[in-house]
Amino acid sequence: MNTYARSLKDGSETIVASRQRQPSRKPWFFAFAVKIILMCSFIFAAVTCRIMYNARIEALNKEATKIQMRIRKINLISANLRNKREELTAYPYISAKIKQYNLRLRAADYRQVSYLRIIDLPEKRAAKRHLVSSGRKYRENTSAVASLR
Amino acid sequence: MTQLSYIGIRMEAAWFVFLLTFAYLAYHMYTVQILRHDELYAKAKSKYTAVKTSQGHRGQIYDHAGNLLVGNVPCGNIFVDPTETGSDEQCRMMAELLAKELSLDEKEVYKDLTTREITIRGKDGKLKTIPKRYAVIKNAIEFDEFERLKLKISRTGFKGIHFSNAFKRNYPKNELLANILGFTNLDRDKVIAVIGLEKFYDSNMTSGKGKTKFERSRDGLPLAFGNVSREEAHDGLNLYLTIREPLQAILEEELDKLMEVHKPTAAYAIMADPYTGDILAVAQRPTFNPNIRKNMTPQAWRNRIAEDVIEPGSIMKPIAIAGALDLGVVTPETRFDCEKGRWYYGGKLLRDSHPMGVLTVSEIIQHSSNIGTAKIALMMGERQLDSTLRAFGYGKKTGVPLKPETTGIFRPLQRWDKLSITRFPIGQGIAASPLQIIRSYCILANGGHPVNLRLVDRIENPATGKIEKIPVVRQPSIYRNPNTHRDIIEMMKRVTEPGGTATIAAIRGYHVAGKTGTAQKFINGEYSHKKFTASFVGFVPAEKPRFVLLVTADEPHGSYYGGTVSGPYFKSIAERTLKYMRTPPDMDFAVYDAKFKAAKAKVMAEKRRLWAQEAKERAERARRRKMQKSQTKSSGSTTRSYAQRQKS
Repeated sequence: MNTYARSLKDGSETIVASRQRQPSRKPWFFAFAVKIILMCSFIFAAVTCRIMYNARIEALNKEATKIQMRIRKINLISANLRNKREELTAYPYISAKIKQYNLRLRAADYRQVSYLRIIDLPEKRAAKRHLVSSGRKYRENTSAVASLR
Repeated sequence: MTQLSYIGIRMEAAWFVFLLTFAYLAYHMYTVQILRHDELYAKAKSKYTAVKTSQGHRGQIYDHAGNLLVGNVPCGNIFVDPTETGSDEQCRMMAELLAKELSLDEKEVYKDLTTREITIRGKDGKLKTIPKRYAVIKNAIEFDEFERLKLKISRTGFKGIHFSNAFKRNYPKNELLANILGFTNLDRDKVIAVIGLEKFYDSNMTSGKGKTKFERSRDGLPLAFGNVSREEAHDGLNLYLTIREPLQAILEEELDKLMEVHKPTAAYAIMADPYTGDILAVAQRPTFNPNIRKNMTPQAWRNRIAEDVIEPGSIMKPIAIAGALDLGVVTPETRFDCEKGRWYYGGKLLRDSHPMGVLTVSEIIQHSSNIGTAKIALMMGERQLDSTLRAFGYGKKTGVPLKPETTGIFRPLQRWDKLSITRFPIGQGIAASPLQIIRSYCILANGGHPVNLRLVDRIENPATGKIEKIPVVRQPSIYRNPNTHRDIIEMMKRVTEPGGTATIAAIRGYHVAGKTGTAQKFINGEYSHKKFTASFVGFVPAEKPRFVLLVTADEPHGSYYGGTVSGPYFKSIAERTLKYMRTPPDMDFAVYDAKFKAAKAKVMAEKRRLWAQEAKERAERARRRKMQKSQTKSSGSTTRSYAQRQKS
């Protein structure tokens, strides 16, 4: 490619041969090597990160396994305790304890037992009153007052 | 040749070597990655792939309210690897510790620890010796004990001892409902259900196996990013019974008292809801503890209430009479001559326990007259009697999930003999299981609606939480006459009122409808005069019963009457149950006491009148005998004896 040069003195144009490329003092493989080294560094960094994350995942995996083992152990303890509770609440066991400690318990007569039943919570009662006052037909099956049976 | 050309040649040679090497590597990579890919991939996969199997838990059994009756409880197994146990001295110390902690024979344990080789027969048939790597020390150790031992042994530093967790079947209520629940045995890790509900619902309660395939690391743990294929193990289905544990406990306690006092060979008690057929409680003696089965006998674990048959005796009378009332053959006021307790029919003598004169149908039930009942049955006819008894469920299974279950002994109509019509309605010549008897009384109590007995209320899938309720099937009443139910209940109420055969079963404040039964046992071709079955069955409150209850004692010692043996225990069970169910009494106690007193006074007055009449008749007979004697002396003629006159 030619280069056109204009003289500032007299404005004349001349064609100046384009500068020749100077032969490089360094050998061509250095650039190649730098490129290779950079690529390898990137790959190395990626692989190292991947290995690091894998190691962390494995560590968490081990932690999770340990926790699962603990949960399993707790489940076993819980199942054992549930069974023990059932054994302790068995009537023959309770009856034997009553006899052992001579507790002199007897079943209550039906007239000695009263039942208290709270039917509506305060919020529900307020909602019901609102419905009644708005003129909608509302049939209450239950009493709003705690009843003594 | 210039220096430059030597460099060029060497460079070309180097390139050629690199090319060859590269070509070789490329070829090798091609061989490994492409040609041998499948083979090497499979080999590698087998190294890092592990398969773990798991087993779900067997289904559990609960009572109606969710109290656990049969469950799976964690336990532990201890086993050793004899190749790791070390020197004999170490083995001796380990054997001493294990034997002491687990109550085992030290010599046996030492033998297990030191036997390092076993001889087996290979696939080719030749004997070969291989190292023994597994010996069981003890299985199914209690969980707390197992954990404590595990900690203790791990601190000692002994090698070769290994621990594994397991589950075993547990019955936390011990003997409660044992015969119905049944039990399982373990055969090489496989659970075998033997009897009871465990066996009937075995396929539902059996758990499924699970399989997990995963890629593992060197230490055996699953890789987080590896492939995992999972087949989940599933637990067996859970059963919720119709049984109420508190009522069951009451029944068992009272039955134990009956066993202690009367020492029968067996005893049964069943409580059922007459409207749904739910069995609320059922107990039998003898029984067993399914947790301790070392000394268990077959007599103890048999399900007598479903397998055994008994002759119901007088319990059958209300059934037959209900049929007669429904057909309009009799009314409660129809009168029958009970022949003073001795009546010949079909060439055979039929007797009452006490001589009775003319009785109404109500009184026949109240005083339990065999002769009166037989005459009512004769008025019904064989066909009607047969269809009545079958309508009340005799001769058919009850529908409970228990195997085997008997259908009882009830001959088909074609095989009845001349006496059957007089014997079947009094519960002789016909045999039924306790379950059949309770079902017939459920039908009697609920107004004639046939019911199937139910033991299982609902089945739960523990994985999904889905519950399947077993439906209650309600059938139309077998009564054609709407008054039948009211009439028969009124009659049965009189059994526990003064003058009845079971006043001991009366409950203060409640109307109890019931019937006693004292049946001779049929042994070696004849009815025994020494062995009896004493029963009482009834329902409370009579008009709208909360439950029907049967109590039976088989071969009680001493007294053998149903009212005396079973009646008191019916009363105590019923009283406690009514309190538990919070059932208010039918009437005020003061009113009840007044009525009871009046009824008793009436009965005593009637008795006095009868005694007076009897005394008068005795005096009259004595006077006639004296007259005849004096006449004989004077005329010299012979007179026939009383027995001779009766026979003619």
